[in-house]
Amino acid sequence: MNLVKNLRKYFRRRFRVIVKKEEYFMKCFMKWSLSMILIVAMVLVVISIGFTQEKVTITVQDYFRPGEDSYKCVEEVAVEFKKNHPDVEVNQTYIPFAQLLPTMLQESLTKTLPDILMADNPWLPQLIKAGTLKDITDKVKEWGWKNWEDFFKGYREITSSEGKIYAFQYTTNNLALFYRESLLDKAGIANPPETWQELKEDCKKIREVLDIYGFAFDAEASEEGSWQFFPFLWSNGGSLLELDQPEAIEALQFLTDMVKEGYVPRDIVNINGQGDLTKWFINGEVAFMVNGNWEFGWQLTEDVMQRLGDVNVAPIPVREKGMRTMVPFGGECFGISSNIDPVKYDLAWEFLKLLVSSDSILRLNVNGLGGLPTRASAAEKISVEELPFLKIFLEQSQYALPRPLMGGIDKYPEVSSTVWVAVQKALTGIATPEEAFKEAARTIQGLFSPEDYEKYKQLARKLLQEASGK
Amino acid sequence: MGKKRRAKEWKWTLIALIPTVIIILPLYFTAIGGFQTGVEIFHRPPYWFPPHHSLEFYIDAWVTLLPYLKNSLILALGNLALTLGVALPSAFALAKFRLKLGKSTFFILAFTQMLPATAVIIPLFLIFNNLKLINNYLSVILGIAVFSIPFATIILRAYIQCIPTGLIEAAFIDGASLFRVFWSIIIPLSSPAIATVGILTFIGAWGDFIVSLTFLKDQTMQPMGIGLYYFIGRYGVVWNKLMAGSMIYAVPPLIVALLAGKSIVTGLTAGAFKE
Amino acid sequence: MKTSSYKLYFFLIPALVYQLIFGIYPLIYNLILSLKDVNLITYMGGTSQWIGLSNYVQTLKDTVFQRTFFNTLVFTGLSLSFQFIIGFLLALLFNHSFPLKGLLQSLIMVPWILPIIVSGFFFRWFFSDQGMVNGFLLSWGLIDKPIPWITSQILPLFSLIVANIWLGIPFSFVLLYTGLRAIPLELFESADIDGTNWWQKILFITVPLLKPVIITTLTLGCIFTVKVFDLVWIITKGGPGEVSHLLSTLSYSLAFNKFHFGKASSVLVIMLCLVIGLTVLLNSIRAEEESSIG
Repeated sequence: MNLVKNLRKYFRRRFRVIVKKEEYFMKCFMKWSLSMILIVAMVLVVISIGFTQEKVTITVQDYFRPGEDSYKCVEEVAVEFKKNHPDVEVNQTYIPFAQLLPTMLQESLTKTLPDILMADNPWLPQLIKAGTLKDITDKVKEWGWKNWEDFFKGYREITSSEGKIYAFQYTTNNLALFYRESLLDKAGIANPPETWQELKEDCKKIREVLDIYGFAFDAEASEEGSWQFFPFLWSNGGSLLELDQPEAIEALQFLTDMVKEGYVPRDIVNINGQGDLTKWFINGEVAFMVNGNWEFGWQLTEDVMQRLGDVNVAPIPVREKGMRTMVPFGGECFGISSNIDPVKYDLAWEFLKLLVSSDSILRLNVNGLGGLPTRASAAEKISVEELPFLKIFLEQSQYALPRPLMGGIDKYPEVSSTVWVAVQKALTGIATPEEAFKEAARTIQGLFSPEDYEKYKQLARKLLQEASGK
Repeated sequence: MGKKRRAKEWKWTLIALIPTVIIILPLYFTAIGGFQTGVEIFHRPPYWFPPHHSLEFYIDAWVTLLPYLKNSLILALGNLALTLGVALPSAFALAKFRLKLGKSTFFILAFTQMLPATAVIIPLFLIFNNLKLINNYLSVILGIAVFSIPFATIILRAYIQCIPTGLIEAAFIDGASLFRVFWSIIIPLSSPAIATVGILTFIGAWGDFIVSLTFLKDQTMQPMGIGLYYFIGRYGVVWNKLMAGSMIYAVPPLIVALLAGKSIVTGLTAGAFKE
Repeated sequence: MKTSSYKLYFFLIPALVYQLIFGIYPLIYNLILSLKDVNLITYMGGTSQWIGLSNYVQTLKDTVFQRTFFNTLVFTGLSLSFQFIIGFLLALLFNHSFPLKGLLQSLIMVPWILPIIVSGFFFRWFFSDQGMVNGFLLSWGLIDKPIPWITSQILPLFSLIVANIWLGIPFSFVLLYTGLRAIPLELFESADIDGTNWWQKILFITVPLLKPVIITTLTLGCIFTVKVFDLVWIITKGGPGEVSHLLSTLSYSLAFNKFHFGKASSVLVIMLCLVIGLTVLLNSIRAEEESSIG
């Protein structure tokens, strides 16, 4: 009680003086807050006015990071473009790859898409259907069909729909088996495996002699994990839309057995990108890995290759000798967005043409992006002697398969995610390959109407047949 | 007496060291990760000490991230100012007065921060785009404030409730105005709470990624969180530079935590009971 | 006396109005989205159709969702409990003064400060088949084969819970610590005179006085734990085989892997209902505790 009385006295002392000034302070506070609001409003107005552009600007959105070699791919083209169009600015915006699609989504909703967009090829069917990309068929016609046909078949198929053209595939890549010759030598293996059985036996030897995992591939819960399964599936004649068939189950069974026997680390289900496999590979913790040609521009650079001295590439093993290794193709495309200012359309088209010209695409390899050309005229200029490791990838790129067309076109993302879930379940023992794929097949079939399902199923079979050269 | 007490106190230091060391274990590995190459980081077993002392990744990361430092500071401090400015008065009103809107305000504040940022970002983008606030620091500050204001308000309210109501009543009886009570009693007495909320809000704003990425398309305006994403490439992560960058990124918030932590040392009502 | 004072509302209005505009609008937006059939095509083209509660029906029937809901409950319950207990113990520990206290205190904030991608990477490695945990257990001969902490059906959720506990400790610690400092030492001193021992002091003095802070810590902790996304996404992406999904990661996966925006929003709304339920539950305890003016 005493305490409270003393407190009251204390405060009374303080407030006696201030009580008179109460109104004054309140007025001050009000004035202050009003002036703050005014200042903020003025700043806002100034900022919004301040940035009006005088020059015409073409905006390009991609995942090339400023400061990286890949950034120059577009930058150098911009420089060349400006020579003919001195009063046009080209602005390159970097978006981290993981955010590229969500960003396009927001931009599409607010009609603020950049003039030239980059998209990963599996997204194209959906983007086309959503009306995000502009129909450039007329422009291509003007340019000349031979230019269009210079692009390999798969890349033409993915960037067009119902006879209309929407984009060009700029770079491509595919998958092969990387191996460390020195590790193979130590284990007494003379040649890289060509069949599944050989791969299994090699891994057994490697385990016995070196006590390391023989083989690693990506099985994470994303497209990067999903697509690494496709070579095994397609080479065996399987289809994404018919996972309950023996060909598909066999492929999954093989990989599951490899994990069970301890030849493949289970950690492959949790990696963050195919690049993590390369780290194990370089560390000598795995002898074989499935990876792509971009690694030559990314982690398996010249000095690393020299230091290791024993890296080589072979086609991914197939079930039986004589089967052809079927691989999916990766790579990004460039197109013009549908909400482009009509005034800028012609300029954007000029820039796009330059960007996907044979020279520009060829420059990709020189700049160390490690990508492959998507056009025949560029492909033939690559000297295989200078870049021997690209040989297999280059060959494969000519008949590599477009993933969406193999998996229900615009429902492909769902098909793909169903596949990776099933694959993960089998590899970690949560379900048998047969159970996992039977369930997956049911889910996938349920995504389509019966007519569509038949249509896409036949399309996938047709494409596989054509590409496997049978 | 002094020596004995000192020794006794060190006993607490030792006890406190155990959980602290366990908690900062990931920090340790991140720190040494910055000295290794990407391949070395993946070495099994992992290195407890970096195999060679190469500062190049730290230097590289520093050079890459430096331009973003000022943006991070602007955004974090701007957000802090806005948040405290709005949250303190609201917390006071909610804590000590029974208002008609009181309960519903509290629940609105709680609900609106329940959505994950990814769900909030697209609708906010629509609003801010119409207000032409894209590529403007204000949009990010406002965007982060959607989460930080309710957060700060709810926490401050809890602390202000700890301030004895009698004090405030006494002041009112003596004729102090609402604002005066707020300014001269609540703020000084809750300075440890303000420090705590300040730390949490600052760290939250400093660590923002998705809001800045959505609203700031201009690279020169982006904060360090996005700068770190530069180390994540198309097919994989440059782990060593990312780790070096993360260490650099973690320093300002740690400093803030250290400095503001000193204010928390004094109690909430310690000042009120002095004669 | 002052309850209906306009000046009081002047204090409250900024926060309220702000949240109404910038907080409620996204809620409504997502609610609307959950009632439409939205995929990437219709989303970008703006041509999605209203389908009422169909998304919710499908979501609730989905076994993956059911498992995820259960995961979220377990995850939240266990994470929150341990975060709170550990944070509380640390707060009690730091309530003494000792040398280097300031430094150690700020180091405890590390889990909140370290970028989540790096912490996620650490825990991913920590729990991997060839990671630190298995390394220890193997070298001490406690097991012969690595335990699949994040590569099996049941364990991943618990590994994620451990990682999340680490993540949430600073939050609980800092809030409880500040609250502890509010308790005047005189109360403890008089308790000492009465001869109470340490746990009685905690139970009968500390906890009751700390009640508003404890409830707030648990409420906000609950909200944040249910929202946890990045940590899970970096370590397992909800896998393997979708066994370690939480409502937040499931929603994201539905939206950006399968482009089912309508379904993703319905999961989000259900998640919201869950959090609202838990929040109301926690705060019904405090309804009687308030001492307020007028």
